[in-house]
Amino acid sequence: MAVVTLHVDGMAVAVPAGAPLLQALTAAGVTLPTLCHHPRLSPVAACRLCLVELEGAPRPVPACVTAAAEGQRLATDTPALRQGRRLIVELLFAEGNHPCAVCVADGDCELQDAAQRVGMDRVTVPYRHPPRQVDASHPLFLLDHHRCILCSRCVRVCDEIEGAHVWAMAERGGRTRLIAGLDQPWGAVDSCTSCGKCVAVCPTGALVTREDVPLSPWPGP
Amino acid sequence: MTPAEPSAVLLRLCDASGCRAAGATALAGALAAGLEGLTSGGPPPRLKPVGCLRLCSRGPLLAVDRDGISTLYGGLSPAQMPALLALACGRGEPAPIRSAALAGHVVDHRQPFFALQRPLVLETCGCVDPTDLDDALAHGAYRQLQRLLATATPAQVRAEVRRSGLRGRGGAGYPTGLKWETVALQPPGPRLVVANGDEGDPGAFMDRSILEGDPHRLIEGLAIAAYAVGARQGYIYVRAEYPLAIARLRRALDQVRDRGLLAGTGAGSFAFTPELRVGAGAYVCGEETALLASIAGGRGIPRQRPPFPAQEGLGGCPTLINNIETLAALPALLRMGGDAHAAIGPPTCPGTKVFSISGAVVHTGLVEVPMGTSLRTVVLTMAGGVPDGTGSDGGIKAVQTGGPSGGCLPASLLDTGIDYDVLRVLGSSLGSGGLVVLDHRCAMPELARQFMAFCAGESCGKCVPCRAGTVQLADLLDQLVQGRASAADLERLVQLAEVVQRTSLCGLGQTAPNPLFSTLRHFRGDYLERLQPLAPWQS
Amino acid sequence: MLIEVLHQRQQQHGHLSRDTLAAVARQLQLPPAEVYGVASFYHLFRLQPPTPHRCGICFGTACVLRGAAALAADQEQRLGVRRDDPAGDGVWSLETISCIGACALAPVLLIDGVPQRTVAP
Repeated sequence: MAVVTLHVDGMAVAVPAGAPLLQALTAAGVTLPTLCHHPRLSPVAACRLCLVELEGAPRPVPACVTAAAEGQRLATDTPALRQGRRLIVELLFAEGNHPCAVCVADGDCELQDAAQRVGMDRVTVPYRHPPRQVDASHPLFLLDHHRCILCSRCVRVCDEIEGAHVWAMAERGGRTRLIAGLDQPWGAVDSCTSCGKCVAVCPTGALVTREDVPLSPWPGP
Repeated sequence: MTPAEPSAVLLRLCDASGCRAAGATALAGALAAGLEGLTSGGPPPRLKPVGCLRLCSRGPLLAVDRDGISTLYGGLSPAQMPALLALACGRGEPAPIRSAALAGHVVDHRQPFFALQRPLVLETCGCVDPTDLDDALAHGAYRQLQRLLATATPAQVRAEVRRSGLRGRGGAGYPTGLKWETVALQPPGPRLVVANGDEGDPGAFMDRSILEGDPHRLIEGLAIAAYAVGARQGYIYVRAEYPLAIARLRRALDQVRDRGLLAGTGAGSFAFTPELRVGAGAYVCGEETALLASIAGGRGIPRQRPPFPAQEGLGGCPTLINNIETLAALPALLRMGGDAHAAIGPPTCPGTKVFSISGAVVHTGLVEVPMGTSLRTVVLTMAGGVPDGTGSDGGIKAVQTGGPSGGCLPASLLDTGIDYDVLRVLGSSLGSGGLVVLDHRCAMPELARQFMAFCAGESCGKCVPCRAGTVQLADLLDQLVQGRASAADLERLVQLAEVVQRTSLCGLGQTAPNPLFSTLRHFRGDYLERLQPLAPWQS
Repeated sequence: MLIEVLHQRQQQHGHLSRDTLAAVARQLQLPPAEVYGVASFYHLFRLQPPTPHRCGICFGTACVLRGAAALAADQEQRLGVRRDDPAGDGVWSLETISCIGACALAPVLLIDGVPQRTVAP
């Protein structure tokens, strides 16, 4: 396997040629917040939090999908990148309804972590307070659209690993929303195997295990 | 305009959607009825539906060709058709054909709007019947393709296009020859070509006019591109908002398939089968990777580049994507040769460009002029400036170029020669070629808000800065327009816009702030006067 | 193929009902969620039955400059419907549409999809 050497914030690291830049960041001990990225799923470069400056590139590149090549020089912590990351997280907080204090994911939420990481002490763009729904039709899990950041991890894990194809994104732009089946209640979608993988990969409290239903032991075949 | 065969009268009726909306269909009915009732001797006049006759604001347009002289009429009504036919077919003084009844309707075709045009891409538009393959063939359709198939290797075709200096007419201005080379030089395997007809910029109707005027020209250009890069399969993607263009293209594709015109032997055996794909209403599909996603039948969601479609496109195959106008430029370009094409306009950006002119001008319509022609020539000399406009700038406040990804150039820059690089330096972009002229009644913050709202509505929703950022920007601009924003809000607006521009995934988000930035740069006063006055304790 | 099939079905039925989408998913062996995702992504696919008559107003730049917004407000009044509400009043609905490239006729108003000659209100 060919190995390439590149520089992350001045530190030389070696990674396999073609590996995503994120791997080089890890090798250099740099961790950036990532919300759409998941190591087991195909990358989509949608959250734009892992943008880094690559010498010679006209604009910042997402580390999750950009391939490592010999001699690259990356900067991961410039003022422009910091400003961008912080505003992007702010946009996410303003776009949905994220009252951490009353969220089941409080303390175990990647969005919350990201906010702390980027130093978001307040949200400077107006909150939009969108009217959204909670889907409690599934016997085991709950989908709270208020907390959904549209990262599409659930869509990908259900497509790529479970193969049940329950989820998709519907509509577009600011109206984009997660749907199950033909925009049905989750519980009404036959293809759902209740495997819980979507819940496991959800970075926020949008997909959670219901706490009002005690998990009963597997009744056997 | 080519004259008709001698002595026969030819009535060329503009049957493009602009003139149709202005009543061309009723006119065609009245003309057909009139022709039927005609009893005079001599060769019967012939009615021929043609593509755009350019001066859309005078529609419906009708050109009468007789004895080598062409007279253009505008704004006729069906009731005037008997008078027109009597004149056109009557004996005696043939030209110019005028009468009291039609006097106000004669359009002077020596005026700058027509005289300064240099039709290459549109050379057959307005002359050929877009529904008639034989007529297109009589006007030279597929001649270049057949010649190249018989005499040139793909590498030679690519070299000729490289030499021509042609740059992509979709907006980015990327050198066409270079793009072709990238596709052709990928590792062996199937390749695809795609004609991008998702002309979504508001105020742009060049591609529509090409497709409605002579669909065979595009098909020939696409086939030439396919031959040059080694593709055997291709797609023509047209936005669904253009039903007439789609119908004509579909018919044209059937015609060439039936006649086997896209195949040949010679330098290399070649058989090309293009398919039509119709969009369904999504501006973002003009972006290359979203276009491919849509052709594949999915949501029009862009993906990060690289890999570029030229490396990895449809089904992972190297895919060449060219704009309609780029492809339609090829037959004329290859006929005249690369060097002759390179000699037109500025050396860095040669050739002609089709512009659609709309907004506050006397003459609205379609023009094709050499690249590098000044804005003043196009919008003032040719299009006549603002109706009743005064002063050296003809009442023009600004010219909006490039649609929602472009910007506004103030009247003080009217002497700018139009090309991709110059406009970019000035903070705008040429885009696909829509020119919207703004008069002094137009307030720039309103215009910026309009474009931002457009981008917010057309964002695909994938990446955060574009999805959530454009919505916030549109709201901030709304507040500003309503006088509810402070100087700090304006600063915030610019900061957020910079982040959206820098961090968005695709061109839509990256360019969404352009109208805002360019109007702020050239018309800052328009913004400042909307700001809330400072309270006494704030000063 | 999905988009072509959706175009066909919409032409047949006037809109894409949930049953139609389910049938398309079965026919093409695609996940229903994907079919819905695509159908809802594109503006021109209607997920609700259209009103018998539709009034469209082009919101392209030229049209906006020549009073499309005022025209839309005027039509809202005249028809007594809200803009971009597909249900309308049951007979008429009013939609804002993206530029159709008939900028010379700005502001462009379409009745049942056919551009009309208009004057600003």
